[in-house]
Amino acid sequence: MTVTSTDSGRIVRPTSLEEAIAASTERPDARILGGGTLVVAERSLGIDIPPAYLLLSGIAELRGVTSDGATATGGAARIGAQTTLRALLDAALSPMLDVALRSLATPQIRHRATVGGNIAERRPAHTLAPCLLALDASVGSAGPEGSRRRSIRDFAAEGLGAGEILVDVALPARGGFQRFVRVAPRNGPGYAIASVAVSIDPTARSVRSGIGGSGPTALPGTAADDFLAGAVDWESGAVPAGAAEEYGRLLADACDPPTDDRASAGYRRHAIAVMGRRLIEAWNEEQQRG
Amino acid sequence: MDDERISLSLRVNGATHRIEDAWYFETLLSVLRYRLGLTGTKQACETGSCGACTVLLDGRPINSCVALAADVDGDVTTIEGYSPADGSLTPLQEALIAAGDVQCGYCLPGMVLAGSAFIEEHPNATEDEVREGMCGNLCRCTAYLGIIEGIREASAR
Repeated sequence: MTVTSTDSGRIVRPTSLEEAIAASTERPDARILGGGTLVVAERSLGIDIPPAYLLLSGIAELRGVTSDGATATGGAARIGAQTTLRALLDAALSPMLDVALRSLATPQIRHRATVGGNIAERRPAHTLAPCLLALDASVGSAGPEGSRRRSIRDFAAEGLGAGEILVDVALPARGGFQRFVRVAPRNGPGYAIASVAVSIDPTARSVRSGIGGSGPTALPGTAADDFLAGAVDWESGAVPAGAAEEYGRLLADACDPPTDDRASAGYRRHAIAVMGRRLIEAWNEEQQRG
Repeated sequence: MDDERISLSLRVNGATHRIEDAWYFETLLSVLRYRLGLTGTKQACETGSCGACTVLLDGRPINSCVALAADVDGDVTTIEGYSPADGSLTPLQEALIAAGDVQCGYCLPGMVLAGSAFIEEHPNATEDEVREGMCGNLCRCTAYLGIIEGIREASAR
């Protein structure tokens, strides 16, 4: 086991959430490190050279997935912020998360990278936030002012406050259709150029989506979701003609995509519209197959 | 010296090593190669993209280039510790040689360690499973076909 000496204030490894909040407040220049796969790479690249690191790996209460035992059929779950992406994959909570986790990183990265690290900084290219928006998750955090729990929509808009640590993500029970699709430079792991996650729960008559890579943070497709929830005949499950295309159009309207070295804003908007339409068509086909 | 130095201990290939003057930002890769002389772990992209620096931590493959040494808690196995001490080869190493498409070989220590964890989890793997499971290891000589075949073959032994 690594025993880090306490004679340097540059590596801080608290063993409780309270210690972590105190350390984060005392040492605001310390970069918080979940698994390090992004933070350490950014040091190697010269992007961020922090004078200290605050390691979350010693806080047992932040690790692990607990679920009500019915996850494969849409049961509720709590995911600690320090849960590795591999542990989340192994928990088999959702077919959407299965695809997202297998496409977002390599096996080596999945063994180290954490759920908290993937969402805490609200980077638009990161994969989990769109999925969590579609799964209607909530985010727990704790800071000097106390603990709070917010919808992932509010978290995506606001982020963490000063000295605040991400604690967990809670998934409500949610059944039905759950799928994640992306366009990316290649089929292998890596950041998507643009992505869409959609979850349709016919029992709850609820449509939820998340859009990745096409705004300053992951974005909810609220207008598209409200449109579809109102357009579908929930008794029969029938999707009216043209509704899938309109859904995609409304998702694209919700975007604020950047133009960068990977794709233009126009490409991203088009891709979001096409992915949104195809997802609803896929749900429709799945229902007709039974 | 100054407060940028830390001391830490690491368990590597069954032995505990005390490092007294590591940089606080030093990676596991750097400690393995430049402090412990375990140069079988290869340095390449340094961003967790290529897999050349793969080591096992408690049996699980990780990129040692993006793990802070101060944040490593567990048993590290490098290619030196994985390979039998008597100089013989594991069935996986034999299968990779038999499939024999290797050119420069720089990716191979990482391929072997990632492959060893992969075949533990995937007995009788299909080619698709190998391609997905080994996606964290790049071979810039593009000798993939032999490597994929070797790992698939080893998973069937």
